[in-house]
Amino acid sequence: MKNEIDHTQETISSGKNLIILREVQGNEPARLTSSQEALLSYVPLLYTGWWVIWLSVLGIIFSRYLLLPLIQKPGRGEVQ
Amino acid sequence: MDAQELPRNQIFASPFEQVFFRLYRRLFSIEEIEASPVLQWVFGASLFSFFLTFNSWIHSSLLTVEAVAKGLHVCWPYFQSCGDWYFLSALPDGYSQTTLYMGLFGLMLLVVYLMWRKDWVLAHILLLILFFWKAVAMFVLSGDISGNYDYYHIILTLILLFIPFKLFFLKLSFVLLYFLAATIKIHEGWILGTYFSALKTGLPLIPDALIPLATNIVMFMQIVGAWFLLSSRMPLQRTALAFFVFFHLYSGILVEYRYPGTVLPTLLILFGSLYTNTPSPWGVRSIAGWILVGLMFVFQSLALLIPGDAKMTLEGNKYGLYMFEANHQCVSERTIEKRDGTMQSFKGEMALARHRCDPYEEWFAIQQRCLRDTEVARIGWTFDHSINGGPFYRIVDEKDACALRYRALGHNEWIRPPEGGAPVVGYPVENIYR
Repeated sequence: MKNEIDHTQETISSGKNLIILREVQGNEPARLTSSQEALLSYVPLLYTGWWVIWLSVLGIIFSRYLLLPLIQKPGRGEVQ
Repeated sequence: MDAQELPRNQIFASPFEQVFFRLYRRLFSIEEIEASPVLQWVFGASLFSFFLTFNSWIHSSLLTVEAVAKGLHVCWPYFQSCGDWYFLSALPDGYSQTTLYMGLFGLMLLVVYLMWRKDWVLAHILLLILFFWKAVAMFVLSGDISGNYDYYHIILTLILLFIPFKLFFLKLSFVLLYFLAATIKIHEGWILGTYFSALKTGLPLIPDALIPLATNIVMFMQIVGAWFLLSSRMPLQRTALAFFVFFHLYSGILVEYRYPGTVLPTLLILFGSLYTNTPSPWGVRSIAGWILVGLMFVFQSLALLIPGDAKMTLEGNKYGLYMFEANHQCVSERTIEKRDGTMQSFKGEMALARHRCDPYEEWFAIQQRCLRDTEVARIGWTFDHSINGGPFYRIVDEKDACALRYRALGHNEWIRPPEGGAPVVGYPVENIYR
Protein backbone atom coordinates (compact mmCIF):
# COMPACT_ATOMS: atom_id res chain seq x y z
CA MET A 1 0.00 0.00 0.00
CA LYS A 2 3.05 2.25 -0.07
CA ASN A 3 1.90 3.91 3.16
CA GLU A 4 -0.76 5.79 1.23
CA ILE A 5 -4.10 6.71 2.68
CA ASP A 6 -6.97 7.40 0.35
CA HIS A 7 -8.48 10.52 1.80
CA THR A 8 -11.84 9.95 0.16
CA GLN A 9 -12.27 6.90 2.36
CA GLU A 10 -12.57 6.34 6.04
CA THR A 11 -12.83 3.22 8.07
CA ILE A 12 -15.45 2.77 10.71
CA SER A 13 -15.94 -0.01 13.20
CA SER A 14 -19.50 -0.96 13.87
CA GLY A 15 -18.80 -2.40 17.30
CA LYS A 16 -19.52 -5.88 15.95
CA ASN A 17 -15.97 -6.35 14.78
CA LEU A 18 -16.95 -5.27 11.27
CA ILE A 19 -14.83 -3.09 9.05
CA ILE A 20 -16.63 -1.15 6.38
CA LEU A 21 -14.91 1.08 3.89
CA ARG A 22 -17.21 3.86 2.89
CA GLU A 23 -16.93 7.22 1.25
CA VAL A 24 -17.32 10.23 3.49
CA GLN A 25 -20.40 11.22 1.48
CA GLY A 26 -21.94 7.80 2.08
CA ASN A 27 -22.19 4.88 -0.27
CA GLU A 28 -24.02 1.63 -0.92
CA PRO A 29 -22.70 -1.72 0.30
CA ALA A 30 -21.48 -3.92 -2.54
CA ARG A 31 -24.38 -6.23 -3.45
CA LEU A 32 -25.14 -8.82 -6.09
CA THR A 33 -27.45 -7.78 -8.92
CA SER A 34 -30.54 -9.86 -9.67
CA SER A 35 -28.87 -11.61 -12.62
CA GLN A 36 -25.90 -12.49 -10.43
CA GLU A 37 -28.21 -13.82 -7.73
CA ALA A 38 -29.81 -16.06 -10.35
CA LEU A 39 -26.42 -17.36 -11.50
CA LEU A 40 -24.92 -17.76 -8.04
CA SER A 41 -25.81 -21.41 -7.52
CA TYR A 42 -24.35 -22.29 -10.95
CA VAL A 43 -20.91 -20.80 -10.24
CA PRO A 44 -19.22 -24.17 -9.45
CA LEU A 45 -20.68 -25.64 -12.64
CA LEU A 46 -19.67 -22.66 -14.75
CA TYR A 47 -16.21 -22.64 -13.18
CA THR A 48 -15.67 -26.29 -14.09
CA GLY A 49 -17.21 -25.72 -17.52
CA TRP A 50 -14.86 -22.89 -18.39
CA TRP A 51 -11.82 -24.96 -17.39
CA VAL A 52 -13.08 -27.89 -19.48
CA ILE A 53 -13.46 -25.55 -22.47
CA TRP A 54 -10.02 -24.01 -21.90
CA LEU A 55 -8.32 -27.42 -21.67
CA SER A 56 -10.29 -28.73 -24.68
CA VAL A 57 -9.22 -25.78 -26.83
CA LEU A 58 -5.63 -26.29 -25.73
CA GLY A 59 -5.88 -29.98 -26.59
CA ILE A 60 -7.41 -29.27 -30.03
CA ILE A 61 -4.80 -26.64 -30.92
CA PHE A 62 -1.95 -28.80 -29.72
CA SER A 63 -3.01 -32.03 -31.40
CA ARG A 64 -4.62 -30.81 -34.61
CA TYR A 65 -2.48 -27.85 -35.55
CA LEU A 66 0.84 -28.47 -33.86
CA LEU A 67 1.31 -32.17 -33.11
CA LEU A 68 -0.46 -33.73 -36.09
CA PRO A 69 1.38 -31.76 -38.81
CA LEU A 70 4.62 -32.57 -37.06
CA ILE A 71 3.86 -36.30 -37.15
CA GLN A 72 2.43 -36.37 -40.67
CA LYS A 73 4.62 -33.90 -42.54
CA PRO A 74 7.72 -32.96 -40.61
CA GLY A 75 8.72 -29.43 -41.42
CA ARG A 76 5.52 -28.65 -43.28
CA GLY A 77 3.00 -28.16 -40.50
CA GLU A 78 0.70 -25.22 -40.75
CA VAL A 79 -1.40 -23.34 -38.27
CA GLN A 80 -4.70 -22.54 -39.93
CA MET B 1 18.74 0.48 -51.23
CA ASP B 2 22.38 -0.23 -52.12
CA ALA B 3 24.16 -1.92 -49.22
CA GLN B 4 26.94 0.65 -49.45
CA GLU B 5 24.47 3.41 -48.61
CA LEU B 6 23.47 1.86 -45.31
CA PRO B 7 24.68 3.97 -42.37
CA ARG B 8 26.48 1.01 -40.78
CA ASN B 9 28.53 0.43 -43.91
CA GLN B 10 29.45 4.10 -44.15
CA ILE B 11 30.33 4.58 -40.47
CA PHE B 12 31.78 1.16 -39.62
CA ALA B 13 33.72 0.18 -42.71
CA SER B 14 36.62 -1.82 -41.26
CA PRO B 15 36.75 -5.57 -42.04
CA PHE B 16 36.41 -6.45 -38.36
CA GLU B 17 33.29 -4.28 -38.00
CA GLN B 18 31.78 -5.72 -41.15
CA VAL B 19 32.32 -9.28 -39.90
CA PHE B 20 30.68 -8.32 -36.59
CA PHE B 21 27.61 -6.92 -38.35
CA ARG B 22 27.31 -9.97 -40.60
CA LEU B 23 27.43 -12.31 -37.60
CA TYR B 24 25.04 -10.10 -35.64
CA ARG B 25 22.58 -10.00 -38.53
CA ARG B 26 22.65 -13.80 -38.81
CA LEU B 27 22.52 -14.45 -35.07
CA PHE B 28 19.32 -12.44 -34.60
CA SER B 29 17.71 -13.37 -37.94
CA ILE B 30 17.54 -9.72 -38.96
CA GLU B 31 17.09 -10.69 -42.61
CA GLU B 32 13.50 -11.59 -41.62
CA ILE B 33 12.88 -7.97 -40.61
CA GLU B 34 14.55 -6.67 -43.77
CA ALA B 35 12.23 -8.81 -45.91
CA SER B 36 8.94 -8.26 -44.08
CA PRO B 37 6.97 -5.00 -43.99
CA VAL B 38 4.83 -6.51 -41.22
CA LEU B 39 7.88 -7.00 -38.98
CA GLN B 40 9.08 -3.50 -39.82
CA TRP B 41 5.74 -2.10 -38.67
CA VAL B 42 5.90 -4.21 -35.50
CA PHE B 43 9.37 -2.77 -34.96
CA GLY B 44 7.81 0.70 -35.05
CA ALA B 45 4.98 -0.36 -32.71
CA SER B 46 7.50 -1.71 -30.23
CA LEU B 47 9.43 1.57 -30.37
CA PHE B 48 6.19 3.45 -29.69
CA SER B 49 5.61 1.27 -26.62
CA PHE B 50 9.10 2.08 -25.35
CA PHE B 51 8.19 5.74 -25.67
CA LEU B 52 4.96 5.18 -23.70
CA THR B 53 6.90 3.31 -21.00
CA PHE B 54 9.74 5.75 -20.54
CA ASN B 55 7.37 8.71 -20.75
CA SER B 56 5.82 7.31 -17.58
CA TRP B 57 9.04 6.18 -15.88
CA ILE B 58 10.93 9.44 -16.34
CA HIS B 59 8.92 11.12 -13.57
CA SER B 60 8.49 8.08 -11.34
CA SER B 61 10.45 7.95 -8.10
CA LEU B 62 10.12 4.18 -7.76
CA LEU B 63 13.62 3.40 -9.05
CA THR B 64 15.54 6.06 -7.16
CA VAL B 65 17.98 5.98 -4.27
CA GLU B 66 15.62 8.37 -2.47
CA ALA B 67 12.85 5.75 -2.62
CA VAL B 68 15.23 3.24 -1.03
CA ALA B 69 16.22 5.74 1.67
CA LYS B 70 12.56 6.21 2.56
CA GLY B 71 11.80 2.48 2.33
CA LEU B 72 9.27 3.11 -0.45
CA HIS B 73 10.76 0.84 -3.09
CA VAL B 74 9.37 -2.64 -3.76
CA CYS B 75 11.58 -5.53 -4.89
CA TRP B 76 10.45 -8.79 -6.46
CA PRO B 77 10.06 -11.63 -3.95
CA TYR B 78 12.88 -13.48 -5.76
CA PHE B 79 15.35 -10.55 -5.39
CA GLN B 80 14.53 -8.80 -2.16
CA SER B 81 17.81 -6.85 -1.98
CA CYS B 82 17.15 -4.97 -5.23
CA GLY B 83 17.44 -1.60 -3.46
CA ASP B 84 21.20 -2.14 -3.06
CA TRP B 85 21.52 -1.69 -6.82
CA TYR B 86 19.63 1.59 -7.24
CA PHE B 87 21.69 4.46 -8.60
CA LEU B 88 19.24 7.02 -10.01
CA SER B 89 17.98 10.26 -8.49
CA ALA B 90 14.84 11.90 -9.82
CA LEU B 91 13.88 15.55 -9.69
CA PRO B 92 13.87 17.44 -7.39
CA ASP B 93 16.68 15.42 -5.77
CA GLY B 94 18.95 15.00 -8.78
CA TYR B 95 19.33 14.88 -12.55
CA SER B 96 20.55 11.33 -13.17
CA GLN B 97 17.13 9.79 -13.91
CA THR B 98 16.03 12.46 -16.37
CA THR B 99 19.51 12.34 -17.95
CA LEU B 100 19.17 8.58 -18.47
CA TYR B 101 15.72 8.85 -20.00
CA MET B 102 16.68 11.74 -22.27
CA GLY B 103 19.59 9.57 -23.44
CA LEU B 104 17.07 6.83 -24.20
CA PHE B 105 14.89 9.42 -25.95
CA GLY B 106 17.86 10.24 -28.18
CA LEU B 107 18.27 6.54 -28.94
CA MET B 108 14.59 6.33 -29.88
CA LEU B 109 15.02 9.20 -32.33
CA LEU B 110 18.06 7.47 -33.79
CA VAL B 111 16.09 4.24 -34.23
CA VAL B 112 13.46 6.15 -36.21
CA TYR B 113 16.19 7.56 -38.46
CA LEU B 114 17.77 4.11 -38.95
CA MET B 115 14.38 2.59 -39.75
CA TRP B 116 13.88 5.28 -42.38
CA ARG B 117 17.32 4.47 -43.82
CA LYS B 118 16.40 0.74 -43.66
CA ASP B 119 19.48 -0.10 -41.61
CA TRP B 120 17.77 -2.78 -39.56
CA VAL B 121 21.00 -4.04 -37.99
CA LEU B 122 21.86 -0.74 -36.32
CA ALA B 123 18.20 -0.13 -35.48
CA HIS B 124 18.12 -3.59 -33.89
CA ILE B 125 21.22 -2.88 -31.78
CA LEU B 126 19.70 0.33 -30.44
CA LEU B 127 16.31 -1.27 -29.78
CA LEU B 128 18.20 -3.95 -27.86
CA ILE B 129 19.54 -1.27 -25.49
CA LEU B 130 16.00 0.02 -24.86
CA PHE B 131 14.82 -3.54 -24.31
CA PHE B 132 17.69 -4.29 -21.91
CA TRP B 133 16.92 -1.32 -19.67
CA LYS B 134 13.20 -2.00 -19.61
CA ALA B 135 13.68 -5.71 -18.85
CA VAL B 136 16.22 -5.04 -16.08
CA ALA B 137 14.01 -2.36 -14.51
CA MET B 138 10.91 -4.58 -14.71
CA PHE B 139 12.27 -7.94 -13.61
CA VAL B 140 15.41 -7.16 -11.58
CA LEU B 141 15.28 -3.70 -10.06
CA SER B 142 11.63 -3.14 -9.24
CA GLY B 143 8.62 -5.25 -8.40
CA ASP B 144 6.09 -2.52 -9.03
CA ILE B 145 7.29 -0.16 -11.74
CA SER B 146 5.63 -2.09 -14.56
CA GLY B 147 2.06 -2.88 -15.48
CA ASN B 148 0.72 -6.06 -17.01
CA TYR B 149 0.64 -4.41 -20.44
CA ASP B 150 4.44 -4.24 -20.19
CA TYR B 151 4.52 -8.05 -20.22
CA TYR B 152 2.86 -7.95 -23.65
CA HIS B 153 5.44 -5.48 -24.88
CA ILE B 154 8.43 -7.31 -23.44
CA ILE B 155 7.35 -10.72 -24.81
CA LEU B 156 6.58 -9.40 -28.30
CA THR B 157 9.80 -7.38 -28.43
CA LEU B 158 11.81 -10.35 -27.20
CA ILE B 159 10.48 -12.35 -30.17
CA LEU B 160 11.14 -9.49 -32.57
CA LEU B 161 14.71 -9.11 -31.36
CA PHE B 162 15.92 -12.62 -30.67
CA ILE B 163 13.72 -15.42 -31.99
CA PRO B 164 13.87 -16.93 -35.50
CA PHE B 165 10.56 -17.27 -37.38
CA LYS B 166 9.60 -13.94 -35.88
CA LEU B 167 6.33 -13.47 -37.73
CA PHE B 168 4.92 -16.86 -36.77
CA PHE B 169 5.89 -16.61 -33.11
CA LEU B 170 4.65 -13.03 -32.84
CA LYS B 171 1.22 -14.11 -34.08
CA LEU B 172 1.09 -17.25 -31.97
CA SER B 173 2.29 -15.46 -28.82
CA PHE B 174 -0.18 -12.64 -29.32
CA VAL B 175 -3.07 -15.11 -29.40
CA LEU B 176 -1.56 -17.08 -26.50
CA LEU B 177 -1.48 -13.92 -24.38
CA TYR B 178 -5.26 -13.68 -24.75
CA PHE B 179 -5.67 -17.40 -24.13
CA LEU B 180 -3.48 -17.38 -21.00
CA ALA B 181 -5.07 -14.17 -19.71
CA ALA B 182 -8.39 -16.06 -19.72
CA THR B 183 -7.13 -18.40 -16.99
CA ILE B 184 -7.19 -15.59 -14.42
CA LYS B 185 -10.79 -14.80 -15.40
CA ILE B 186 -12.08 -18.29 -14.63
CA HIS B 187 -13.20 -17.11 -11.23
CA GLU B 188 -16.37 -15.78 -9.61
CA GLY B 189 -15.23 -12.21 -10.27
CA TRP B 190 -15.69 -12.75 -14.01
CA ILE B 191 -18.19 -15.63 -14.12
CA LEU B 192 -20.68 -13.51 -12.14
CA GLY B 193 -19.05 -10.21 -13.07
CA THR B 194 -18.71 -9.16 -9.43
CA TYR B 195 -15.46 -7.38 -10.30
CA PHE B 196 -17.56 -4.74 -12.04
CA SER B 197 -20.80 -4.83 -10.07
CA ALA B 198 -18.72 -4.06 -6.95
CA LEU B 199 -17.68 -0.80 -8.59
CA LYS B 200 -19.68 2.30 -7.80
CA THR B 201 -19.67 3.09 -11.53
CA GLY B 202 -20.38 -0.49 -12.72
CA LEU B 203 -19.23 -1.71 -16.13
CA PRO B 204 -18.94 1.20 -18.60
CA LEU B 205 -22.02 1.71 -20.81
CA ILE B 206 -23.55 -1.66 -19.83
CA PRO B 207 -26.55 -2.09 -17.50
CA ASP B 208 -25.82 -4.02 -14.30
CA ALA B 209 -28.17 -6.84 -15.29
CA LEU B 210 -26.05 -7.57 -18.38
CA ILE B 211 -22.68 -7.59 -16.61
CA PRO B 212 -22.45 -11.43 -16.37
CA LEU B 213 -23.29 -11.72 -20.08
CA ALA B 214 -20.59 -9.21 -21.03
CA THR B 215 -17.89 -10.79 -18.85
CA ASN B 216 -18.65 -14.30 -20.10
CA ILE B 217 -18.52 -13.13 -23.73
CA VAL B 218 -15.03 -11.74 -23.08
CA MET B 219 -13.99 -15.05 -21.53
CA PHE B 220 -15.36 -16.97 -24.52
CA MET B 221 -13.53 -14.73 -26.97
CA GLN B 222 -10.24 -14.99 -25.09
CA ILE B 223 -10.46 -18.76 -24.83
CA VAL B 224 -12.02 -19.68 -28.20
CA GLY B 225 -12.41 -16.58 -30.39
CA ALA B 226 -8.78 -15.45 -30.17
CA TRP B 227 -7.61 -18.48 -32.14
CA PHE B 228 -9.67 -17.32 -35.13
CA LEU B 229 -7.23 -14.43 -35.46
CA LEU B 230 -4.97 -17.10 -37.00
CA SER B 231 -7.66 -18.43 -39.33
CA SER B 232 -7.27 -18.60 -43.09
CA ARG B 233 -11.06 -18.18 -43.41
CA MET B 234 -11.24 -14.45 -43.76
CA PRO B 235 -14.81 -13.85 -42.48
CA LEU B 236 -13.93 -15.61 -39.22
CA GLN B 237 -10.54 -13.92 -39.01
CA ARG B 238 -12.04 -10.48 -39.62
CA THR B 239 -14.82 -11.07 -37.07
CA ALA B 240 -12.26 -12.01 -34.40
CA LEU B 241 -10.15 -8.98 -35.31
CA ALA B 242 -13.15 -6.64 -35.14
CA PHE B 243 -14.07 -8.01 -31.72
CA PHE B 244 -10.62 -7.48 -30.24
CA VAL B 245 -10.24 -4.01 -31.75
CA PHE B 246 -13.57 -3.11 -30.17
CA PHE B 247 -12.53 -4.82 -26.92
CA HIS B 248 -9.37 -2.72 -26.60
CA LEU B 249 -11.12 0.54 -27.49
CA TYR B 250 -13.88 -0.27 -25.01
CA SER B 251 -11.55 -1.36 -22.18
CA GLY B 252 -9.66 1.90 -22.67
CA ILE B 253 -12.67 3.61 -21.07
CA LEU B 254 -11.38 2.07 -17.85
CA VAL B 255 -7.66 1.56 -18.39
CA GLU B 256 -7.02 4.66 -20.54
CA TYR B 257 -4.32 4.86 -23.26
CA ARG B 258 -1.45 2.77 -21.96
CA TYR B 259 -2.79 -0.78 -22.53
CA PRO B 260 -4.53 -0.15 -25.88
CA GLY B 261 -1.53 1.93 -26.92
CA THR B 262 0.71 -1.06 -26.33
CA VAL B 263 -1.50 -3.79 -27.78
CA LEU B 264 -3.76 -2.30 -30.48
CA PRO B 265 -1.04 -1.24 -32.96
CA THR B 266 0.52 -4.71 -32.93
CA LEU B 267 -2.91 -6.37 -33.17
CA LEU B 268 -3.75 -4.32 -36.27
CA ILE B 269 -0.33 -4.87 -37.86
CA LEU B 270 -0.23 -8.63 -37.32
CA PHE B 271 -3.89 -9.40 -38.03
CA GLY B 272 -5.17 -6.42 -40.03
CA SER B 273 -4.90 -5.70 -43.74
CA LEU B 274 -1.37 -7.13 -43.95
CA TYR B 275 -2.46 -10.47 -42.48
CA THR B 276 -1.48 -13.66 -44.28
CA ASN B 277 -1.36 -17.20 -43.04
CA THR B 278 2.05 -18.14 -41.66
CA PRO B 279 3.10 -21.82 -41.59
CA SER B 280 4.27 -23.40 -38.32
CA PRO B 281 8.04 -23.72 -38.27
CA TRP B 282 9.75 -26.91 -37.23
CA GLY B 283 13.39 -27.89 -36.91
CA VAL B 284 16.33 -26.73 -34.85
CA ARG B 285 15.96 -23.01 -35.58
CA SER B 286 12.42 -22.99 -34.24
CA ILE B 287 13.40 -24.44 -30.84
CA ALA B 288 13.90 -21.04 -29.18
CA GLY B 289 10.39 -19.97 -30.17
CA TRP B 290 8.78 -23.16 -28.90
CA ILE B 291 10.70 -22.90 -25.62
CA LEU B 292 9.36 -19.38 -25.17
CA VAL B 293 5.81 -20.63 -25.80
CA GLY B 294 6.36 -23.33 -23.17
CA LEU B 295 7.72 -20.80 -20.68
CA MET B 296 4.62 -18.65 -21.11
CA PHE B 297 2.52 -21.61 -19.95
CA VAL B 298 4.92 -22.34 -17.08
CA PHE B 299 4.91 -18.81 -15.70
CA GLN B 300 1.13 -18.51 -16.04
CA SER B 301 0.76 -21.77 -14.08
CA LEU B 302 2.83 -20.68 -11.06
CA ALA B 303 0.03 -18.79 -9.31
CA LEU B 304 -2.32 -21.75 -9.87
CA LEU B 305 0.17 -24.21 -8.40
CA ILE B 306 0.63 -22.31 -5.12
CA PRO B 307 -2.04 -23.40 -2.61
CA GLY B 308 -4.78 -20.86 -1.90
CA ASP B 309 -6.66 -18.43 -4.10
CA ALA B 310 -3.94 -16.26 -5.65
CA LYS B 311 -6.45 -13.44 -6.07
CA MET B 312 -6.76 -13.29 -2.28
CA THR B 313 -3.17 -14.11 -1.25
CA LEU B 314 -1.51 -12.59 -4.34
CA GLU B 315 1.18 -15.27 -4.06
CA GLY B 316 2.68 -15.82 -7.51
CA ASN B 317 0.12 -13.42 -8.99
CA LYS B 318 2.60 -11.27 -10.90
CA TYR B 319 4.61 -14.14 -12.39
CA GLY B 320 1.99 -14.44 -15.12
CA LEU B 321 -0.72 -12.25 -16.61
CA TYR B 322 -2.84 -10.65 -13.90
CA MET B 323 -4.80 -7.88 -15.58
CA PHE B 324 -8.29 -7.50 -14.04
CA GLU B 325 -7.80 -10.62 -11.97
CA ALA B 326 -9.84 -9.18 -9.06
CA ASN B 327 -11.31 -5.99 -7.66
CA HIS B 328 -9.31 -5.33 -4.48
CA GLN B 329 -9.93 -3.47 -1.23
CA CYS B 330 -7.79 -3.76 1.88
CA VAL B 331 -7.03 -2.44 5.33
CA SER B 332 -3.58 -2.85 6.84
CA GLU B 333 -2.90 -1.97 10.44
CA ARG B 334 0.55 -1.88 12.01
CA THR B 335 1.24 -1.55 15.71
CA ILE B 336 4.83 -0.54 16.30
CA GLU B 337 6.28 -1.43 19.67
CA LYS B 338 9.46 0.53 20.45
CA ARG B 339 12.28 -0.52 22.70
CA ASP B 340 11.36 2.18 25.22
CA GLY B 341 7.94 0.58 25.57
CA THR B 342 5.95 3.18 23.62
CA MET B 343 3.44 2.08 20.99
CA GLN B 344 2.36 3.63 17.69
CA SER B 345 -0.47 2.52 15.42
CA PHE B 346 -0.85 3.12 11.69
CA LYS B 347 -3.79 2.21 9.56
CA GLY B 348 -3.59 2.17 5.78
CA GLU B 349 -6.63 1.69 3.58
CA MET B 350 -7.00 1.15 -0.10
CA ALA B 351 -10.29 0.98 -1.93
CA LEU B 352 -9.10 1.42 -5.51
CA ALA B 353 -10.12 -1.66 -7.48
CA ARG B 354 -6.93 -1.80 -9.54
CA HIS B 355 -4.53 -1.52 -6.63
CA ARG B 356 -3.37 -5.05 -5.85
CA CYS B 357 -3.63 -5.51 -2.12
CA ASP B 358 -0.52 -7.63 -2.00
CA PRO B 359 0.46 -8.73 1.52
CA TYR B 360 4.00 -9.13 0.18
CA GLU B 361 4.29 -5.42 -0.65
CA GLU B 362 3.05 -4.45 2.80
CA TRP B 363 5.37 -7.01 4.41
CA PHE B 364 8.26 -5.61 2.37
CA ALA B 365 7.53 -2.07 3.61
CA ILE B 366 7.39 -3.35 7.20
CA GLN B 367 10.73 -5.10 6.73
CA GLN B 368 12.32 -1.83 5.59
CA ARG B 369 11.14 -0.21 8.82
CA CYS B 370 12.37 -3.13 10.93
CA LEU B 371 15.79 -3.01 9.26
CA ARG B 372 16.32 0.75 9.38
CA ASP B 373 14.72 1.87 12.62
CA THR B 374 16.80 0.59 15.54
CA GLU B 375 14.18 1.81 18.03
CA VAL B 376 11.64 -0.72 16.74
CA ALA B 377 11.33 -3.80 18.96
CA ARG B 378 8.58 -5.44 16.95
CA ILE B 379 5.65 -4.64 14.67
CA GLY B 380 2.25 -6.23 15.08
CA TRP B 381 0.34 -6.45 11.81
CA THR B 382 -3.15 -7.28 10.58
CA PHE B 383 -4.11 -7.31 6.92
CA ASP B 384 -7.75 -7.50 5.80
CA HIS B 385 -8.50 -8.18 2.14
CA SER B 386 -11.74 -8.13 0.18
CA ILE B 387 -12.03 -9.15 -3.47
CA ASN B 388 -14.87 -8.46 -5.89
CA GLY B 389 -17.10 -6.90 -3.23
CA GLY B 390 -16.89 -10.00 -1.02
CA PRO B 391 -16.18 -10.00 2.72
CA PHE B 392 -12.99 -8.67 4.24
CA TYR B 393 -10.94 -11.64 5.42
CA ARG B 394 -8.19 -11.13 7.98
CA ILE B 395 -5.54 -13.00 6.00
CA VAL B 396 -2.63 -11.81 8.16
CA ASP B 397 -2.68 -11.46 11.93
CA GLU B 398 0.85 -11.48 13.34
CA LYS B 399 2.33 -10.20 16.57
CA ASP B 400 5.82 -9.66 15.14
CA ALA B 401 5.94 -9.02 11.39
CA CYS B 402 9.69 -8.28 11.61
CA ALA B 403 10.30 -11.97 12.21
CA LEU B 404 8.35 -13.10 9.14
CA ARG B 405 10.04 -14.28 5.97
CA TYR B 406 8.49 -14.37 2.49
CA ARG B 407 8.92 -17.32 0.14
CA ALA B 408 8.99 -16.31 -3.51
CA LEU B 409 7.76 -19.67 -4.80
CA GLY B 410 5.26 -21.42 -2.59
CA HIS B 411 2.72 -20.66 0.06
CA ASN B 412 3.65 -18.55 3.09
CA GLU B 413 2.03 -20.06 6.15
CA TRP B 414 1.47 -16.68 7.79
CA ILE B 415 -0.89 -15.68 4.95
CA ARG B 416 -4.15 -17.41 5.81
CA PRO B 417 -6.61 -17.73 2.91
CA PRO B 418 -10.36 -17.98 3.63
CA GLU B 419 -10.30 -21.74 3.11
CA GLY B 420 -7.46 -21.88 5.65
CA GLY B 421 -9.63 -20.32 8.32
CA ALA B 422 -9.14 -16.57 7.85
CA PRO B 423 -12.01 -14.92 9.75
CA VAL B 424 -14.48 -12.49 8.17
CA VAL B 425 -13.98 -9.08 9.78
CA GLY B 426 -16.21 -6.86 7.69
CA TYR B 427 -17.93 -6.07 4.41
CA PRO B 428 -17.04 -3.45 1.84
CA VAL B 429 -19.11 -0.84 0.10
CA GLU B 430 -18.93 -0.19 -3.64
CA ASN B 431 -15.50 1.07 -4.60
CA ILE B 432 -13.96 2.94 -7.50
CA TYR B 433 -11.65 2.14 -10.39
CA ARG B 434 -8.39 4.05 -10.47
